[in-house]
Amino acid sequence: MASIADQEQSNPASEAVSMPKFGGKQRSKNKWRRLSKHLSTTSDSPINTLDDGCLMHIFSFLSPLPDRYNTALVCHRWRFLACHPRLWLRVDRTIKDYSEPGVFSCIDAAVSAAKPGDTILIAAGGVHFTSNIQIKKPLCLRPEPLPFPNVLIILICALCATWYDCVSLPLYSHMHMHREFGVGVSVDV
Amino acid sequence: MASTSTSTLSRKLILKSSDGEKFEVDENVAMQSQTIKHMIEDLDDINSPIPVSIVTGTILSKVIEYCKKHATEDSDSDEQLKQWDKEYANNMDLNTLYYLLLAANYMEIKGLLELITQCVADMIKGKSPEEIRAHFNIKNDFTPQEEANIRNENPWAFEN
Repeated sequence: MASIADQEQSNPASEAVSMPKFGGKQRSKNKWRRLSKHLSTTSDSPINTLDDGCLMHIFSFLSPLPDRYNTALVCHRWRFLACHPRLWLRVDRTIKDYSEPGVFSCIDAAVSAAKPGDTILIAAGGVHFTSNIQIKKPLCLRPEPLPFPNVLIILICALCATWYDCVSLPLYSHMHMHREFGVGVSVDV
Repeated sequence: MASTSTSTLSRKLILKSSDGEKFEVDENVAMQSQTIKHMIEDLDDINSPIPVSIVTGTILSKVIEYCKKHATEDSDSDEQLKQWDKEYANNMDLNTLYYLLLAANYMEIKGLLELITQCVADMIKGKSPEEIRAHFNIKNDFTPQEEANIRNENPWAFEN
């Protein structure tokens, strides 16, 4: 199964990468046929015969820390799916419909909703300003990936060395917060 | 349309599994499945068996058990229903769970899908990567170097 994940990784345009989810009727039927054939002919782990959408749905029930990070260490395919952006929170002021889970209009809301270890994706194309938020859990803040002009600046008005980790963006930047303190954050993407 | 008429609630449908087993169910039970709901809307004659051609009889009977319970949920409190769901899922072995998950996905039964995915997620919770592999019989396809690299990428995630 790892080969599937590898394939998908090498082809970012593939459907599974952009939006793996429970398929439409027709697609899921075909997928099922393929899978059911696979189930009967392989000695692989049955759980890895589930499609990407099913597995990611299972992972979405897990707390990022420690469970989702542990699943990322199981095998290549699980790593790819457990770290998939679809499981991230997203801050986007341009979206009209915030009923979609995991989408927020401001950083404060995303931070307070985030579970320890969550990744928050800051959408491109605007200035997000927030101040005096308290972050008491480890979080990743990441700018939306290219092709948009991509600068994430975080100004810190409180003394905490760990914040500087996030200056060395982009990919796996993180902040690890141990103590309670107030910080001013201005994120310009 | 069948789905909009209340007088059709007691109608019977026949579902036919991939291995030819037939199940007679109330229409409101079968309608828990969006896929079957759409199929019925396209059918002229609902008296003929409806093929659920990729789900075996064993699995389909379990799916129907779930649908029956949830079609008559008015008689139970939410808490009772949750308890029933829990026992229902706990009585399945791992293999049955996978097939049920695939069936629920194909038949588009949202409640069942949520129940099973949550159940599998609970099995993952609190386990180390090694324990997860052992539980689900997954082969580790990382080289020791790759594994070390991942831990180094997010050392803060693994320090506890």
